[in-house]
Amino acid sequence: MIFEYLEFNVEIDNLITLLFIVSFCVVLLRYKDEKSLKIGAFIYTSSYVLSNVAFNLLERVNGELIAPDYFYLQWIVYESLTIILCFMIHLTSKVKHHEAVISAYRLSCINMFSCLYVHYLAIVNSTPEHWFYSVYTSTVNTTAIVIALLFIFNFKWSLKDCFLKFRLS
Amino acid sequence: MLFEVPFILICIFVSVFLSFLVRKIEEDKEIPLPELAEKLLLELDEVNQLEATTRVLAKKQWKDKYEVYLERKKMDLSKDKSKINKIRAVK
Repeated sequence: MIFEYLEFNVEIDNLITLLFIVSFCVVLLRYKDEKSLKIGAFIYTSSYVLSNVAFNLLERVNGELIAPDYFYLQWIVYESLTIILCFMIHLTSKVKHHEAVISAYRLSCINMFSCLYVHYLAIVNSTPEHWFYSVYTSTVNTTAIVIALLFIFNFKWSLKDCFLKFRLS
Repeated sequence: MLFEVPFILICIFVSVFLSFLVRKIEEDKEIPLPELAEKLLLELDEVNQLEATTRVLAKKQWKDKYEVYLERKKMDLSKDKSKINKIRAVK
């Protein structure tokens, strides 16, 4: 059932990739002093562009997936590599992480866990229908859009600040 | 799947570890500037007592560390300047 939404997801993926390219351009033009934000936007944009290209060119033949068993696992690897690479670049160039980049890491972790659960449901258990499939689709797309918006709006609040503001208001 | 799933679990563990402990890792990495200056002075004293052959390389490494210290100091000064500007703006 989950693969029925594939075409719809491909269109959303293209939109999200475009949004990431826009976010990178915005960061490059508007926030020239934010080194960490530039690194984060660059890594996330290239990750989404590359995974989109890989998905469209390498993983599908005549509209069908080559290795559907590993479909969700590879998304986890992409997300994980993005986080590790971004962290390593920050570490080697001695740049302190921007709050938006840390939030992007955490949102990627949510994506990874939902991918893992869907892999368990769809591939390991072969469950044809489950309420989590629609939750997964919306979670993955929403987190990607939120990450791009975090970069575009130079979001500087940490999770702690958000809770404090919520408690004070 | 015997190999892939454990690999994925390790990937998830590393990513979660990094995303939740980034700030702590960064704080541990950054020694306060006065402490760092003291440490550098002690190191320089040790380097000066080395033999001529090993001293050249040791001094080069020390200079790299000193440059990092200077960069951090510059960043600290620019932060202070931006704070002063903000106070002026409030006035």
